[in-house]
Amino acid sequence: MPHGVTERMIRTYAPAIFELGLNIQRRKGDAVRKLDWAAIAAQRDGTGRTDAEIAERLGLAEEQVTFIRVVAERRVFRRDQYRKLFGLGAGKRYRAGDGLAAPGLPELDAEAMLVRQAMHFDPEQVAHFAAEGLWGGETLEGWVRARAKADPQRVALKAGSVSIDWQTLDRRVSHRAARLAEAGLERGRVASVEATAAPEAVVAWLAIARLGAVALLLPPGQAMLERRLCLAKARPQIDLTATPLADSDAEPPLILPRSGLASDPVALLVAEGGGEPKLALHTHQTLAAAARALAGALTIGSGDTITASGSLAQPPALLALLLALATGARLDLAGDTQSSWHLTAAGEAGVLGQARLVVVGPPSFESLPAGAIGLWGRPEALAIALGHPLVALPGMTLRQEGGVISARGACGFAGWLGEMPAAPVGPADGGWIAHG
Amino acid sequence: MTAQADNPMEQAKAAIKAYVLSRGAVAVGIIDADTVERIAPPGFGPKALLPQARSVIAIGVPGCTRGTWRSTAKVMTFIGNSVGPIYRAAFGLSFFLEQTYGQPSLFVPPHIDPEYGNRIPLQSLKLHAELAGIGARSLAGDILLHPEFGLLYYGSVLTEMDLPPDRPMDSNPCPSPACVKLYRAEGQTPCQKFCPVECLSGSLDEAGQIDEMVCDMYRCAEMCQRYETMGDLIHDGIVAPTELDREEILYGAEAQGFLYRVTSGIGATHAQCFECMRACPVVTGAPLADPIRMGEAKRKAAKAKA
Repeated sequence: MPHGVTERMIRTYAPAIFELGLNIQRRKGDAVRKLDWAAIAAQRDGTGRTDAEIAERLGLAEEQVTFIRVVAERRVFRRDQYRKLFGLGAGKRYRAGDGLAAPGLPELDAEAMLVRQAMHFDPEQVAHFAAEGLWGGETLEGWVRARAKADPQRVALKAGSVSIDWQTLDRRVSHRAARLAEAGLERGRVASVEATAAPEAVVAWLAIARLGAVALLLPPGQAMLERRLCLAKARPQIDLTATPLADSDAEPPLILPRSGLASDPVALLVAEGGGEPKLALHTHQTLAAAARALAGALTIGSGDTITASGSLAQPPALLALLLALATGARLDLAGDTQSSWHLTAAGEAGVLGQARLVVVGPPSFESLPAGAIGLWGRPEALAIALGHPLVALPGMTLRQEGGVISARGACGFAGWLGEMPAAPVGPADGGWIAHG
Repeated sequence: MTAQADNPMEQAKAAIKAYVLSRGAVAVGIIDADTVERIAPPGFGPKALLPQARSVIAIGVPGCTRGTWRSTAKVMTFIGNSVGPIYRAAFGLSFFLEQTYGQPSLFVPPHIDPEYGNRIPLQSLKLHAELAGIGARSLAGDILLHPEFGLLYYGSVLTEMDLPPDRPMDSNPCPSPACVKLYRAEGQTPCQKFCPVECLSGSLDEAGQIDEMVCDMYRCAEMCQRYETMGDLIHDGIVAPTELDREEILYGAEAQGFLYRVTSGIGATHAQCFECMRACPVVTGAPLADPIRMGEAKRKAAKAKA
């Protein structure tokens, strides 16, 4: 123990030593300039005592005071304060409460890190996506903000007789996000949602995204055991499946936590493969890439209306939502039935026209109805290839080896959550996703 | 010939002023060492460094350009100060005094007392300058202000010469009328309001003069000194929970930026913050606060004298 000082002595004497030293300066009037000797003497404590003077006052050795003082000063020292200067000057001044007090991204907790650790993109592929512009800075909720600003009164969603414009959607998302934040949802953590084909589910997911969190999109009517397994793997911080969702059109709070980044995980999709359900992790970038690729291939624009049926947890309706967000097209939610897995786009003179697009899991489209276009999409990659024979969508690559068709590309998922050891196929395997 | 001109110490004082002004200083004042000893804490007066010191010569050099004041805080942390010219003027003066008058003289190291860590200076250059009449304490953590030049950087020379002393300023330019007005309206002066760590507080009296100045120096030090940063980085690196955390702490942008300053000795500082001074009307609005105007005035005066 240096100089015979114990931790308890530090705790005992540090406040007094800290106060008596130079750390807090107090001056009354202008005594030195006026050579007011009485006033100078009266406020010697305010200008700071030497270690020797403090030692005499407290009955300690000077070395002990120096040691305790230096330790106390180090313990109150905040290294991160200096970052505030990086945003100041050139016309900008600090103002109390302007957000500079908490610079940088908030730390992710251990649970959020588990989600991060499930992400396994191939580095070469990522460099390619960035170079080709297949991945960018777009986020799902960022699309909503942009639409709300550019075209606030235009209808974004329709479900039965209910229509919601972009401005209202944006407001509801902010409101829901604020409530989720109040309930404790943190950046990077998972929140589970009953992904019905209803506006409330859309708002809930986008609100989760607005907080930088991840939505576990669960299909309605899911078997109890399967749902339990999904929840056990995702370990949601908040479970909204048991909560009736009611949105508010009131003005949302002005201050919201920082939004998610494009590279952040944003959705967990349930992939059923006969055994335990697996959870495919997607980022804003993988979902945006799927939407952009399909919108380009089908020439869907803001004048289109996309009709989707089925749960938002399933690729067809989920793709329809993403297409609507990416293009500004109107989304008509036709209900939760999964009997007809299709989405229809109509309006602008695109490839679809009045055609019906049937989404099928396996890449075999030999028996499509007349006028339909087959899309190979699955939870691990929502938009892989179109038609028969298959044509890879922009940003995707197909490979056939030994009768197995594999695909990889910009809309490929980030990894499986909660699988130990890591899944043998998928992002860990150079980004290749095998069919079957 | 006047009595003053006959006095060799008065002649020396005039020569000293001429010398430091020719070396880039704009203000110079002298105070007797005993007066400083009377106010400085025991062991931190001039005689602790030069036992036979009789006089303290305080020197002020100007700060940065108007463009620098208008730039980002990042830029100011590198080039906002004027430590270099202080060395040139004050260090040179100590040699000038010994060479010209044969009297022991000492450039006061503007550094910490290594016996007490990094927060205790060897001398208070501020006290020297204030007593010598080339600055007055402001509400901004007692930073000295000069009514003509605004913010100056100070250096000191101790000498065994018994030079005629100057007096402290008759009035204090702080607070300025604009600051009094803001204080009356909002309860804070600009320096208090815009400090990024909110380390300044205090009050004005009915006459608009300083009633009390309070500065949480330990907060200001987080922006202006950062002497604990090195040890803090090493400590945090040792206890980092993961290898990635350790890499970020020891080799991340913050550590690299800090080590760049320490190893390159930029401005001889680890850190600087000018936000209180940037908001100060005296600093930015004093008649000769701008070094360019200051130089023009100096040349004009020299021409008129010639």
